[in-house]
This record gives sequence, C-alpha cells and structure tokens, in this order.
Amino acid sequence: MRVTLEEVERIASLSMLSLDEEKKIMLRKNLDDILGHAQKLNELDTEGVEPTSYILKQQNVVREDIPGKVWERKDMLKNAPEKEDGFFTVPKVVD
Amino acid sequence: MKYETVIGLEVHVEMATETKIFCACKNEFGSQPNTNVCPVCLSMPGTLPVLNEQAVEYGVRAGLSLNCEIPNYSKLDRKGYFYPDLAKAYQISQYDFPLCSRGEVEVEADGAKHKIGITRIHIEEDAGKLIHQGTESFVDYNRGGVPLMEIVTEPDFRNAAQVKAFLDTVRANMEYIGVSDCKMEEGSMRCDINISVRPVGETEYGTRTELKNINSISAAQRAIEYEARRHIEVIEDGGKIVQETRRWDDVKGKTFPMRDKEEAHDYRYFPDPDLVPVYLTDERISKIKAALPELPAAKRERYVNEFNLPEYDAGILTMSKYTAKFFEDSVAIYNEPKAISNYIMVDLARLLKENNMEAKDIPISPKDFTDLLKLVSDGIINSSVGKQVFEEMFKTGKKPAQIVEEKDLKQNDNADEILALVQKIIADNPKPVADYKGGNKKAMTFFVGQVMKATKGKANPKTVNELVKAELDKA
Repeated sequence: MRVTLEEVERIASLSMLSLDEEKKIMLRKNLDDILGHAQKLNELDTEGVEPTSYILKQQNVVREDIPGKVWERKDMLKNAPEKEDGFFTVPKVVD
Repeated sequence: MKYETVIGLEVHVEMATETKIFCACKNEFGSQPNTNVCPVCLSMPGTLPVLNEQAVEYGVRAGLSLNCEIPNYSKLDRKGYFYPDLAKAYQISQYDFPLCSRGEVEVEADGAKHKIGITRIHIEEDAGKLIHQGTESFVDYNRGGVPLMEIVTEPDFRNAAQVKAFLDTVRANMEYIGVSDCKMEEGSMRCDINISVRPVGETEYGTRTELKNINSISAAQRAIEYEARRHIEVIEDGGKIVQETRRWDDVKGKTFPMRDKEEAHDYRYFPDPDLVPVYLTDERISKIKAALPELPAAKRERYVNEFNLPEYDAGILTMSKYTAKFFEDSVAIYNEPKAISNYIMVDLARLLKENNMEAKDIPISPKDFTDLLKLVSDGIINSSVGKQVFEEMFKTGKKPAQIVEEKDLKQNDNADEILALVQKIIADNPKPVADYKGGNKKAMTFFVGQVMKATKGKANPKTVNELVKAELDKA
C-alpha cells in the first residue's frame, strides 16, 4: 500500500471529516487504487515532452467586466441547510 | 543591546471592477447580504469560473505602477482550506506563476529614501464575510469572489514610518491607475504584517510573528511599535519568540495570539483545472504600460521642478489624483502655485476633514477658487477675510464675489477713515500707549487688533499697521 492510515487521517482532518475505522480502511484502499492508477502514467515515455499543468491548448479564456443576471436571494438560499435573515448560517466558527 | 526591527507586508487590495473575478455578479460594497451572489460564487456543483479580463488588466497595471516584472505566462491555482467564508473549500489564487513578479518602489520616511522590494503580486478571489453571533456564524457571500490582489513585499522595512509611507504610496498609485480606492476602513485595502527583531549588526532574521486585523494605516504603525517592543522585552527577559499569528486589538492597543486553524498551512495548491493559463504578450503589456497615467512619484518630481514647490507641498498635493487635478486646473487659470498650494494644504484639507469628505468631493471649482485668490491679491479683500470667504464657498457653493458683496466684506482702504479710528483708539487707551512708550513694542498689536475689530476685520492690515505705528510714535 502506498497510502498510510495516518495520511488518510490527516487528509480527513484537513477536510473536517471524522471517519470511523471502517471508513478509514475503505478510503485508504480507494486512494491507493487511485494512486496506483495514476502511477501507470509513469510508465509512459515522456522524453522530449514539455511539462504542463494543462491538457488543453486554450489560454486567455476570459469574459468582459459587465454585470449579468441578478439572482433572487431566496433562490440562492434554497439549498442552504440553515439560513436566517438572508444569511447562510453555520455552527459558530472562531478565528 | 540595540535592536533593529525587520518588517515585511502582505497587502490585499480589492479591485474596483464592475463584476466579480470569476462570475458576472456585481462587485459592490454595502449591499444587502447575499444579494450579489450566483451559483458560481456560491460554488454550486457543475458551475464553472470564467476569468474577468479587467481583473487581469488591473493586476498588470498595479504591477507596472510598482515597477514589477510582468511575466508572459501566469496561471491560477486552488488553495485548499476549509472555512465557511469560502463555499468551495478552496480559494482560487495563484501559486508558482503569479501575475507580477519582482518590483521595487522608493518611499520617503524620516527624511530619507528607502527602497522596498516587491516579491510578487498575485490575483485571487476574496472570501465572504462572517458575522459571529451567539452559537452561530452568519455568512454573507457578497464579498466572495470579489477580485483581490495580494502585494507581497520583501522584509525591507525597518520601522513603522516606512510602512506608513509604503501604504500611502500603494494607495495613491492604485487610486491614480483606477484600480482601487484602497479604503482600509471599508476593507478594500487590508494588510498583514510580518515582524521580527534582531540585534543591530546581526544578519540572520529573528523569529517572526504575523499580525492580522490591521484596519487603518495608523493601526499598522501602532501595531508595529507595540509588537517590536514586545519582541524585545521577551528576548531581554531570556525568553523566545514563538512563530505565530497574532491579532491586533485596536482598542486595547495590544496583540494577542490567534488560535491557529489546525494545520492551516497545508494549502495543497494545485493548478485549477477549471481555468486555463493567462498568456500576456509583450505587446499587450507595453500597451497597458503606455496607457498608465502620470504616477504620484513622477508628478511629485514635476511639481518641484515645474512649479518650484517645496517637496513637502508636492508630496501632499499628489497624494490623491483629485487634489492633484484641482491644483493643476487652478494653476492653469491662475499661475500662483505656492498660493494655491497653501490654500489646498491648509484650508481645503481642514474643511474636507471636518466635513468627513474626500478629495474627490471637493465642492469648489478651480475657477471660483482662483477668482477668490485674485480678489485677495488685487486687494479687494484682505487675506484673513479670504479664508472666511473660502469656507463660505465650501459650504454654500456660492461664487466669491457674491459672498463678498452679500456680506459686505470688501477691504477698507480708506486711509482717512482708518486714521480717525486709530487716533480715537489711541486717545481712549492711555495705558497701552504708555506701555508702548516704555519700550513694550508688543503693545502695538493691541491697537492693530482693536482697529481690525472695529472694522469687522475688513481694514487693510498693511495700512492699519503703518498708521498705528506712526501715530503711536507721535503720541
């Protein structure tokens, strides 16, 4: 296995997830499979290929600075699990 | 032991675009909560960000104004952090290829010039606003997605005065190039301060702390002075500075450790696959550069050379492009730069401040202003009445001649009338006359004051002085 349980726990804590032991073991396996899959790319011969962060040839996809559609607040809050007075509300977080 | 303070800044500037950086929501301060939001800035699944070209242009302008290099290639990255002010649980920012790199600005503080290195400027989206109340936090995403740039400096500052000078310079530059109003009070300019101390002569840096919640330039100065003192005290007591983030409490005038978000520094940056790279050709960069207006530093120099103004005046006049424009427009009508400068620096500045107004709100036209100066120089009114008329113009918007007419403020040049008054006052006040005779020359001011009072301040001060002196010497 490439992924340790400690790494799973660390990633979970960075993502604010609490996992039980069973889930941790499952995710460890999932992540390991994903990494294993990505590992395959190392088998490719990349000699002479310039490194890139993107697979598309496109660049400078931009929009003009013009205001668009105004969305209704009630619609924007529709999916919120908790809301109050036009705000999304969450359990108190402190700095 | 003598210590030296070492300071570096991270300055966040909100750009004054019409819309947000990755969606077409309005970029507006002070709207009702969550009224400038859409599925993109609320990070609904399946939505895609599209970069606002104006934010790129503004970022480049800002970089050029601070003498940065503008690389051709730049890209956007995801910075992972989990906090409710960002609905995506990551912020779109820039990591290894920022929009602007290496720059330098010269600032003046304590009578000397200092070079401040700019490490980089990158663009990113601002986060939403949290209001903590009771057991809940209220989230307003109006600010989420507002275009920000972050200016990171080298640790080149040695005291608070240099930091103030730099922030003033950044603010003035951004205003001139139309990128931001940089109001720290409204949060459109925010500043984090990295600070450490070391014994003078030491080349290694000391352990630094990072100060947050700096809401004004004067708060920055006070926070720096406090924190440097705290570092020195800890070290002198044999203790060690802990590298941490601290919150400036403006009311208490102290810094307090912030509870660090757990492992918050593991941002796990990676290129945002939803966005494509930004490629700026040399032509595009030159074009943006050519379109930049004259910047404050150049203007300052020109004012000294062209108008023969003291550096101090030139510095104040060029702090805001609106003040500079008012000055230039006035000089174009009436070529008395120093007289104009004096009024702007003293009377106009005071009235703006008293009325809580900004330079862009100057309620007097250059034409009316210079008409007033002409009334003074032509001797129609005396200079202290001039100040009074100026204030009236500021408040009512009336023309100077009209105010002089309505309030009957014309200078009294009638020497016979003034002489009669002087003689009467001298006759009525034997005691100060005796003082004067006894060698107390200052007693003269009493008589001048009495004459001015009797003429409601309108007498020609020169005539009054001459006549008072002549009559006293005769008496």
